[in-house]
Amino acid sequence: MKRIVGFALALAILYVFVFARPLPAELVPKPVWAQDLAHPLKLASARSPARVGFRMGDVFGYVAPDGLVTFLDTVQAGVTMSDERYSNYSSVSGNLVVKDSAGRVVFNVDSGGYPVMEAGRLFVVSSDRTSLGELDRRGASLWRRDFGSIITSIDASASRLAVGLLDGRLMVIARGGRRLFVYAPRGEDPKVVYGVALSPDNAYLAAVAGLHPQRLYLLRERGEAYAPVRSVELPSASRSQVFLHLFEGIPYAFAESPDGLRYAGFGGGAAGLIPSGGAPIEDVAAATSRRLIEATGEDPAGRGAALRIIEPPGQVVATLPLPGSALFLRSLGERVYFGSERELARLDLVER
Amino acid sequence: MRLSWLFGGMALLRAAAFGGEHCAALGWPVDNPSLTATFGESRSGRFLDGIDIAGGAQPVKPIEGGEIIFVSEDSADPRGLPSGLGSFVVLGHRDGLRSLYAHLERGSIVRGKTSLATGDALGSVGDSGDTVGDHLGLCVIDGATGEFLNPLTILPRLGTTATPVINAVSIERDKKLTALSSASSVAPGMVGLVVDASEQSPFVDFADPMAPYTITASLDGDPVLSLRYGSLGLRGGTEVLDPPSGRPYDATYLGAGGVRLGTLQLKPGESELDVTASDVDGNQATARFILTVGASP
Repeated sequence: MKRIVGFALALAILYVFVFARPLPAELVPKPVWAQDLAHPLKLASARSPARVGFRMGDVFGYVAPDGLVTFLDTVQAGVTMSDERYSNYSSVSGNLVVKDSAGRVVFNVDSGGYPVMEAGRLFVVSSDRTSLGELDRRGASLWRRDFGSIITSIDASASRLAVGLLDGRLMVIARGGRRLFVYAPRGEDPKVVYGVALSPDNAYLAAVAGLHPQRLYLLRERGEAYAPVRSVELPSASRSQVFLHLFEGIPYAFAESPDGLRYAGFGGGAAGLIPSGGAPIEDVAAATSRRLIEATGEDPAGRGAALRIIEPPGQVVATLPLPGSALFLRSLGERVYFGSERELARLDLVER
Repeated sequence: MRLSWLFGGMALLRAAAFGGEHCAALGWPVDNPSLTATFGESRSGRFLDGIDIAGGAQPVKPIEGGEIIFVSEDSADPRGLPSGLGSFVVLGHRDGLRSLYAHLERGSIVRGKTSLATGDALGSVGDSGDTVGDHLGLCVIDGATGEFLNPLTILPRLGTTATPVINAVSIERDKKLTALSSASSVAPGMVGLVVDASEQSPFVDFADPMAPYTITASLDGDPVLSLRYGSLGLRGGTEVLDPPSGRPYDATYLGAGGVRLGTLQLKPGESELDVTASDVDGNQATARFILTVGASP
């Protein structure tokens, strides 16, 4: 059995890394390890206290940088996690249980909502999605705010929270719950915000709003508020949440769409599309080298999932085929963790 | 107090405006609807901003034709916001009215359509999200004000004949409740009036008590206090019932002991206190209390 698992792992690693095309720039992807989660894993205690939280389909857990999986569990209705803590919640709201990366209970509080961990912070969204609050590390309420409208999307930095609402407003909330900024684009039809993003350094704010047409709005920080920079009409409109991405030091907003990853720059210039050939985008992350890593699923033509390395704003410089649908993507510096089917792997972007 | 009545009247006018124009055209989203929760009732420490309708698997139809403006499939993307609404659809209608259909069966939401006519199925009744059984959650939003409206005020009348039930009426003084009997002796001064009233339902045994549409109190024939479950909106970042004069949840609900209707000035002598709970169909129950207001209780 061990031989079969080892052989499968070796094949998976070969598949990913032999078919990889090197980056034309100085960076090359270097395989580090791969773990097959489909087979019973012996959980290990790693030397390093560092952990990376991952979710792959209906399982989630923590892996050490050296590839040792230290915790693994099954997702209930949903799980939200940071690298230190997680909350594996049921579909019926009530008690909120937060555990550490080893599965030990940190606190258990009656929240009346659902947990969301973003940027190292813990938020609670009310069951009816019209109210949101923040808890501290011990589970005590820091603040709570009613929005009077359905929350369609949120994004947080360490000090701010952006909230998109069904009534067409985009709001930025300070760490203590104070409303810093509210924006409602004029002339939107209908007045709905479909997605929001806030850059980790708070410098950039973006939203997708309206349907006729749907537009991507770019705003730049000005004091505690934000000033609209430009808006870009999107050629296709989504009636569901749009996943938007902003990264520190990259002056572009990226919006996931059925035809690929759309981008527009805060400094002007043409907006563009990185076509995905119809493959669904699973997630987008950024490495410290200011390259983007995009994970896509299988496209309609049956071409498999892939990791793509992107030179912002829109140049694909490498494509790494994956043996199955991409389920998880995370970058930490130049370390890229990804999951595909039941395989969890790490590659590093290193200078040639 | 007069202002409160005025604003209550404005909310009623607004609902009547929608109702008057739409009522004939609006329809219930499921066949043979049976309510399991009403607008404004207490739900997990908040006002319920819609109604719940019982029903097994059956198609859900728009209350009126409209455009699909937001769709959320439960658990479709693990990066999405968790939601007690489960799989839900929001439609935009004429005059800015919006309707939201929650807890739909996973995977049942109609695909390939951007607008729906009355009678089209938008999905199926399900149990997705924060539920303990199949039912439909329906919210109606006034797009102009952003307020959640009581759907029962604009949908065709159900024509029910069951009257609301007044379970208890108490006075609150110094945070202590004293239940009133049909003849009670009380001390004079300002007191809070707390009313525990609910709609009758075969479901209340296992669900939260259903709120009536209005609760009113009159003292010696003069209307003095009222609460109308007409709309929910924002005031200073807090959700309130019947804005702008309305009140937040914490000032309204008293745990399982009912709702705070307001404060009364009791003067020495004998007074008649009438408390009335009404539903949208006009069914009402009244409880009368003869208060002997003396120097001491």
